[in-house]
Parts: sequence; C-alpha cells; structure tokens
Amino acid sequence: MKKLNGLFYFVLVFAMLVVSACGGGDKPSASAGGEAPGAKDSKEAIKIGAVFSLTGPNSPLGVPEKQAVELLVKSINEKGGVGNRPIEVIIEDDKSDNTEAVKAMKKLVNKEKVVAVLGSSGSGPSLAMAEIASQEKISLISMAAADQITNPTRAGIFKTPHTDIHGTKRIFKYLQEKGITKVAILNDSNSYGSGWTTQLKKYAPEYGITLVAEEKYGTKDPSMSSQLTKIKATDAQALIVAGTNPGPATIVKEAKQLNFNIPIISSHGSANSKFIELAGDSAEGVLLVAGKLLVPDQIDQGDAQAIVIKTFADTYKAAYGDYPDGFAGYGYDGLNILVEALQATNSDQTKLAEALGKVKHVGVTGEFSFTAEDHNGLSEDSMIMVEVKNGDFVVVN
Amino acid sequence: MKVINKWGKGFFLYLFLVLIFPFLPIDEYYRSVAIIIGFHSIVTIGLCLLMGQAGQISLGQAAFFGLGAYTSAVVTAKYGLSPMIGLLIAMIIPAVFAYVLGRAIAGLQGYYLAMATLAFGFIVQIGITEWESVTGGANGMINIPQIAFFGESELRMYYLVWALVTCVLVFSLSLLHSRVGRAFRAIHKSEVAATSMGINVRSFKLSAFIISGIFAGLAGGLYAHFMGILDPQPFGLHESIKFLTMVVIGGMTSIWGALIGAVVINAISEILTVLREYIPFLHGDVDTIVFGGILVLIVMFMPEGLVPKSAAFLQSMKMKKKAARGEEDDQSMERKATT
Repeated sequence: MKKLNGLFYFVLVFAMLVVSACGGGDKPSASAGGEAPGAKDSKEAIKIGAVFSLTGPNSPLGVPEKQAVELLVKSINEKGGVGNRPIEVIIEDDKSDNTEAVKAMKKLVNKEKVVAVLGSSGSGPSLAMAEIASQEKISLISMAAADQITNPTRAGIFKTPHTDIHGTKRIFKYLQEKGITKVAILNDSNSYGSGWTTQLKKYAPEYGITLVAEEKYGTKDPSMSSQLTKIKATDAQALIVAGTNPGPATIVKEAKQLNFNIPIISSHGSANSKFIELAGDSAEGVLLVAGKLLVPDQIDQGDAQAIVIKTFADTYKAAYGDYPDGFAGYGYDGLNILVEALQATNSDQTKLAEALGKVKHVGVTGEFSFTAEDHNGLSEDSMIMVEVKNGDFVVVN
Repeated sequence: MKVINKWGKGFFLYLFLVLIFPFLPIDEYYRSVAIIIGFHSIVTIGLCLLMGQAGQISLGQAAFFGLGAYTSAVVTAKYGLSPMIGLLIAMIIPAVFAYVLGRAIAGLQGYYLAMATLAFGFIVQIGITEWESVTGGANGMINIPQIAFFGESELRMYYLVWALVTCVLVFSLSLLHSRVGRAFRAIHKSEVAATSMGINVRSFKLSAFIISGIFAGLAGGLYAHFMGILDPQPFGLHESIKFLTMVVIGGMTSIWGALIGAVVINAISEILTVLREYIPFLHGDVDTIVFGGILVLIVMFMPEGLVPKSAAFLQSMKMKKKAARGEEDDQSMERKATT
C-alpha cells in the first residue's frame, strides 16, 4: 500500500483537476450552445474552412490557391460580405499528407465549427477529407484533379478543376480536326499521369484514335530518352504527355535532342510559365491543353468568361506581382461558388449541399453548371489548345 | 500478470490516462490525434521489440504498415468482409511477408540488414502502386468501411485503438520478461555469444521480425478503416524513418519508450501547429527539421533515449532522498500527506 501512496495522490489530484476543469469546461460549451440560435446576428463572421497543401510536394498547387482565396475574401468583405456578414476563411496546411488532411478537416469541423470546407490541393488528401465531409454532413469543394472525388457524386462534395476527362476530350477533338489517328502516350506513373492514361485509353476509340505506344516514367526520373526512343520507332503521328513539371519539360528537351518531328501535346498539369522556363527553346512549337486563365489577354471578347478572367488576372497580378496560374483559379472559383450558395441559403449549413448542387457560375476555370450527376460542372469546351511561340503561350484556333 | 505487478504504478497511471483522455476538457479534435498516436504506438512497440531488444534494424516498417492497411481495405471494400475479420487478415498477411523476408535476410547484420529492409520498403510501396487492379494504383482506394466497435463513432474508435495498444503493450512487456525477451537481448549483445549459449539465433530473429510485422499490420488495418481511403503515399521511406525516430527518441531499450516516443513526436507536431498561428514563419516543413534536430540531440546527449534516461534519473533521485531521509522515510511521508 505504501508503494502505491504516491500514485494514489497523483491520481487523486489529477482527478480533482479534471473534475474542476470539466466543471469549468461545461460553461463555455453551454454558452456556445446558447449562441448557436443567435448566430444569425448580422455582425458575426461566417466561418469557412480551407485546407491547402502549403508545404510538401503539392505546395506549388496549394500556395496560389491560398493566395487567390485570401484575395477574394478581402474583396468580398470590402463589398459588405455575404448577407451583411463578413466571411472568415480559416486556412490549414495539410503538408501534402493524407493523415494531416484528415486531422485538419476534423479540426475545422469540430473545433472551428465551419459551415463548409474548401480543399485540398492534392487528390489523396481531398478524398480523405471527402470521407469525413460525408460523415459529418458538411459541404466540401475540392481543388484536386482525381475524378473519384465527384464520381460517383456524393451530397455536398464538389470540385472545381478540369479533370483528365476534359483534357482528353479536348486533345482528341483537336487531333480529329487535324486528321491525326495514331498517337503515342508518355505519362507520369503518379496518380495524375495514371488518371490521364485511363481516360486516354477509354476515349480513344470514340474519336477514332489508336494508341500505338503506351509508355510511362517515374516522377523523379532524370531522363526519359529510352521511352522516347521506343516511341520514335513507332508510326505515331503525335505524342501526348501527361505529368506535372519538371517531367514534361525534360521530355520536350530530350525529344528535341532525338529529333522528334511529330507534334507533342502536353497536359494542363504542365501548362504554366514554369514549363517554358524549364524547357527553354525546346518548348517552341509544343502544344498544350489548358484552361483559359493561362492566356488572360487572348480570350475572345464574346466569351462569357472573358471579363471574369480579366478582372481576376489583373487583381491577382496587382496583389502578387504575377499572373495567376490554373491552381489560383481553382481556389478562386471554389470560394466564389461557395459564396453563391451561402447567399442562396442565407448561410444555413443544412441547406448548403442542396444549394451548391444548383449553382450555375461563370468562373475563371470555366462555366460551372452542377447537376445531380455532375459535381464538377465543367465541359471540355472550357479548355483551349495553346502553342508555345517565342517563349509565350498563344491560343491555337 | 507478473509484469503488471512489476510495472504497477506506471501501468495503472497509463490505463488511467488512456481511459480519462477523451473526457478531458479539450477539443474533440485531439481525440483524432490520440487515435493516430495509437496507430503509431502499435507500430513503434513492434519496432522496439525488433530494434531495441533483438537489435535488428528495420528501415521498412512502413511497408508492413501499408501491407496491413491495404489487406484490410481490399478484403472489406472489395470482398465485403467485416472490418474485424479484415483486421485479422491484416495481421496475417504482413506476418507472412515478414516470415519470408526474415527467412531471406536473417543472416544479414548491420548495414546489410538496413539496406535489405530499405529495399523491401521500396518494393512494397512500388508493388502497391503498380498492382492497379487490386489496390487502385496511385489513385488509391476509396469507400473503405469504418470499424463497427459497438457502433461507429470516434470515441469508440479511440477506445478500440487504445485497447489494442494496451494488448500490444502487455504482450510485449510480458515477452520482454520471458525466455524470449532474454534471448532477444542476448542476440542484441552478441550473436556469437548467444549461439554459444544454445540460443537459436535465426529463429528468434525471425520471430522478432514476424511480431513487429504483425503489429505494424494491425496498426495499418486500423489506419485504413479510420481514414476511409488509401493511397500508397503514406507507406514510404519517410514514414519508416518517422517510426524509427519515435523509437529512438523514446528509448530503444524500453517498450514504454516506444510508446512515449510516439506521443512526444505527435505532441511536438501539434504544438508546432498551434504555434504556427502566432509565428507564421513556422510553416509545415519545420516539423521535419525539428524532428531531425531532436534526433541529433538525443543521439548525442542521451543515446539511451528519453524513457530509460528519465527512469535512471528518477531512480538516482530516489536513492539520494532515501539516503538523506534514512529510516524516517515512512513517517515523514505520512506527515507530508496530512499537511
């Protein structure tokens, strides 16, 4: 017994602390409960959660998304907020990690009591967050590529980026116009590239296209010349590359060294200024499929998106000194769509999922039109083909 | 039971803390953190048996973790088995892999063993990524059912996870004080000496591999059902090193050290997250730097790890006190208590 004395006292003191703390803890929680009905008070900010990959491998995606969202929050609040209430976006970093994304999501839902969540930048974290979102019946708008996020559709789960399906269809449409039927593909073996491979294979017959070579490379591979040599030996009339930089830039460089004379078409994952920077002169003449935001000054004035894109591109450049890339656009559209739904429901969280399902929004990524079967809401017509000319992207008509 | 008596105070304190934790007046969010600590603890306890006790390094523990996760995910999401059976299979498959791996590399020591386990880790991660028809490849799997442990809620998941941590802990502590534990330590000290003492070094090493594989597999299975989705990303070298760091920081020679190591690393990560709100400079990458720094400091100044070091410190304090107080010890204790 004597031996247990110390432990006994420790436990006793600890238990007392806990009891007193619990007693103290009950009060604020009770008052928080009491505040809930009063939340309609016009002054209180509407809390929105956001999870972006601000560090880790997905940070080139997450950082512009965060910047765009912060810019938009400022402008919304300057205009009086949503229904006379300012909005507050609480941003968490998932470190490009699935488990961290789950933790961030739980924190936003349980601790911050947000009405809806934006994010994340990567597909894995987004899928993990979507699981919690459906359990907790909270709405989620993702900025990640994977088709699985919104296919099959789940109540309250949406996403803003173009999918590989849009990209695939747009490229095939272009090839059809040019009368090209034999195509080789060289894709990254990560989730982005393999998603593309699946869709390219799936839609090729529909457009009368045969895939004569199917190669892949590892995200960190320093050279892809062996795959390119194999492809060169086939009778392919064009090469499609799907990956995120630096992979496609390396491929383009090596293709030039190997005297490739067929057109190379790279996916929207590589459509940014970094690509030209990395590939240098070799980028000349390379075709890319991309969102219109890539060329804010070259959009047809008759296009409904023209003014939206121009405004966003100019404010973003004024704030951060650089034109926004596609990722910034995904974040921008995500918050805009959410705000539209919040306005429609007077910020009632329970009706949000339904309201989001009806949103029609002209965004910088494309014209969103959500339906019961489509929680991405975009069509391939919102993508364009661009060519690199004199170190710049030029729209191909 | 002998073990529990021996570890009396500490063990009851542990049980008390585990039971009471969800009712502490803190954010519900920390319940999720505690669940994740539970997964890590199960893996690190296994790794501690393998590394600290049997002296076999493993740089591929995340591979067993991944094997367990994917096994349970596939049998429940694709073949509709109950998650409890999924967990059971999640322990068997990594055990089989650990057996094969152990058989193949049991003769290796030191650097060679480290390299072999490192390679194993890569093979498993690449294997998971490439076996698309079953694992969903780099895109991963979704719709993995939750575990129904008297219902599906986070609180129940918490108790399930920590009940399993406790089982693993008791099993490992008992093992440590048995013939097997002594054999492990003998192998650690010197394989040659152990052999000459009549210990079947090969089979004991193999059993250490299998046990650590089973634990990691169990933790992986739990992780899969907790997350609801899986992709191959969390099962690489980075995670293996993180497990290793936890064990080393806590103290390789102590099972409790493995547990404390998992708690400490996760706690630091949480503290940094809270600090980040005030010091924006501390963005997400800082975690890794801090872990690295702590690891270096531990290896330099207390290579035995936090738990053995503080245990030794407490012991020496007690001795000093006893010496000072002499025989009046009990009386003074009582007097203190009354005041």
